[in-house]
Amino acid sequence: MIRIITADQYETCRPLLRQMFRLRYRVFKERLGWDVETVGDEERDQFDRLDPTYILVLNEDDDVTACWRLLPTTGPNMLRDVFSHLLVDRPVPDAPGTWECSRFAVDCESDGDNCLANLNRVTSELFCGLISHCLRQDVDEVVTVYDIRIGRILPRVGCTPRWRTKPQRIGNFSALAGLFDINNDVLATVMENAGFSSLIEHDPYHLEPLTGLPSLGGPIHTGVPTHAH
Amino acid sequence: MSRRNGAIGAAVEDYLGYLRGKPSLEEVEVRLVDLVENYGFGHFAYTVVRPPRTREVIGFLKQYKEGAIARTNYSHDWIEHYDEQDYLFVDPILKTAWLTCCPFRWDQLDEGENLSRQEKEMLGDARAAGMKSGITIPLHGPEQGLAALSLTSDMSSEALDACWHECRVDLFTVAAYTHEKILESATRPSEGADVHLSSRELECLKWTAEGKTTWEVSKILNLSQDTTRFYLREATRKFGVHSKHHAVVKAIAAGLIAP
Repeated sequence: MIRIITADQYETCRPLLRQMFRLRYRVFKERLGWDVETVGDEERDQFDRLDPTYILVLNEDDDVTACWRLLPTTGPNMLRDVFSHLLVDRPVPDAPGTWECSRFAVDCESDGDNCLANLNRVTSELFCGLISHCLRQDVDEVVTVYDIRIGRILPRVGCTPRWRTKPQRIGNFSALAGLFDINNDVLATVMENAGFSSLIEHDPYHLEPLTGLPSLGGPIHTGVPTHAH
Repeated sequence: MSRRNGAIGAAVEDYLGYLRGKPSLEEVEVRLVDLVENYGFGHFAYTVVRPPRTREVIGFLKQYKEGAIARTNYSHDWIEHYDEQDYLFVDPILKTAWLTCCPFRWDQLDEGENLSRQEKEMLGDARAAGMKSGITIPLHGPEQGLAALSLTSDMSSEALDACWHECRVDLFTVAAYTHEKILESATRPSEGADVHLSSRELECLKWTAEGKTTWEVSKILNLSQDTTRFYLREATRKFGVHSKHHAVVKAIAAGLIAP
């Protein structure tokens, strides 16, 4: 299930966000051994303080199995402020219709042998969540810095970059920057490749605020999953 | 007022004893009016600024305008004027009640340049309406609620000076116990706040609220993953929602889990 968390929902989604930060700790700090900022058992950096949107994939237990972080390119973002050298001569993306994705992480340890199949499926779901969210926000391009290993699964997912840079060594991995077109055709291709007939997206607007005025005794809204298509 | 080694006044002790005898709120009001009159205050207003998070107000208290819930013996004219002027949104007394835990005097608010023109106007109107001196006792909590007991008098500022030092501790005590009595008798759990969770369901939800996955909760509580899943689904069902994270939000709103 896809779950989009925008900054206005951080309050009600703290448990999910904590799961996500802990997932990122396990992936980036423990598994990949990156030099990342941590707070206890959570991995968080300065870009998480800029009210990014998070795209999450939840499993049947409503636990976070994959995440992605989305920031507009018109403000601070990782490609512009940390990895701009990857772009060499290309201009740094900076447009309202172009957003930047970072901190792609998938928790595939818990699925043992099915790790790769799971990785493909969850990646597809994450892309679908990203694309459908971007379409709603009139975003038609996404840039991201990614590991060449992730680059290998992208064709299978159905996402090929319009352009990509040469990979460069960053610490203990090779990374490149790529720009992806976002449109209905891409969404259809990703869904088809993954064998998805519909997307299950949790509708967050049925959640109530954690604090504030007490309930006025209105009807209880239910968070029935809605089908985006 | 006679004192026993710095204890509260005998009249206050009597009042607290009276409250313990389970009188009706109408009876309490009569006693309260009597009591505060002895301290020189002819009128009172008990205002619920925000009810406790999981409770709603019933009976006794009157809903004046949107958001204003109170019991008062202020003059009808003043209440009408207050309503007409939309003073609820201006009132520096209620604003101050949010900011302090201690009783305060209205004339202290008007010192210096702290107040806006509208706020000064409101206090001026109150004085003109016969409330020459006023004090307010903020009542914070439980459950993030806020009420305020205001007492007004036609005594001069100098007369208030004389009684302020003596009376505020007594009146603070009176206000706190009266507040408790009103909450007990004039509020009830709001809809959704009466969901009963088993201790296991609650434990599972608490750890979920901490950002633990079902698998992690099962390890922490030494349960099987299926059992943990069962407790979480039961809790989710009881709140009438469809995800455990929504159940966490409901449980926090109901005061079952600390935010």
